Amino acid sequence: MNPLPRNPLHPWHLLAILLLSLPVLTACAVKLVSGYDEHIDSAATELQRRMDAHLTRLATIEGEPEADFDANRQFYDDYEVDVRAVRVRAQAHEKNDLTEKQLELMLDSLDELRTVHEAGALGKDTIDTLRTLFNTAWGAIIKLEVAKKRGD
Amino acid sequence: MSLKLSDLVKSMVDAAKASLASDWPKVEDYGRPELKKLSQSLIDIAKLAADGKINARQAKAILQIHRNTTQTVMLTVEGMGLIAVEKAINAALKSVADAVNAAAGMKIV
Repeated sequence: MNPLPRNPLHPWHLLAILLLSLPVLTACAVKLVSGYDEHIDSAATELQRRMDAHLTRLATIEGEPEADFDANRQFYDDYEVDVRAVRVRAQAHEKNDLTEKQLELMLDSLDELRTVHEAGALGKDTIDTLRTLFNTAWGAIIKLEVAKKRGD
Repeated sequence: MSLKLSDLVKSMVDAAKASLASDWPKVEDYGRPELKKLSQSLIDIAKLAADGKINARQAKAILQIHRNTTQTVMLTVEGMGLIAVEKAINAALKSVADAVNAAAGMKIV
């Protein structure tokens, strides 16, 4: 079998390839996780505050009709829309799978909270536990977003 | 049977360490206190159920929130580990940039 014919690149071709590659080579800092997004940071901080305020209010009015699920249905609907909006924003970035997944988990937790509220009255101890869990989850989302600053 | 906080924290930290291996020390300052907080929450949920303060449906839903929160914390731990690795790679590239650029006769790194 004849060897494949050798087709060496002309020096001008090599130079052209090198020149075309320069922008890639000079910008070759490795990025494993997406960059920081100030909008996600501030939206997550605001959503954390709103959930804390909602649960604190429920604890304050415990036993009153205003604490029932039906009186708070609108909060859950509005909150879900706002969390989904942040998730859409997160999906716009490359290499942002971790934050996307966190926001999907947050949507699931919101759904579960709706179930907890619908299933019966919430006592102060239950609300304390739920508040800790939601603050921990939002804190983790914010912590990751801030870590993406990389000291820039 | 009562749950012991120190046992739960140890189990969770051991699982995180095993998952992250050599990257664990880079994220331990954040991970350990968060896992301790989650362990305490698990004890609180068990107590709420045992004291009859939540019904079975509520207990199941709160446990799912706990699971989601734990996973959210672990994703942050994973992300911080990746960012630490990324910084190490870029620092290594930067440290050899001068030598590579000199050998290439032009700035390529």
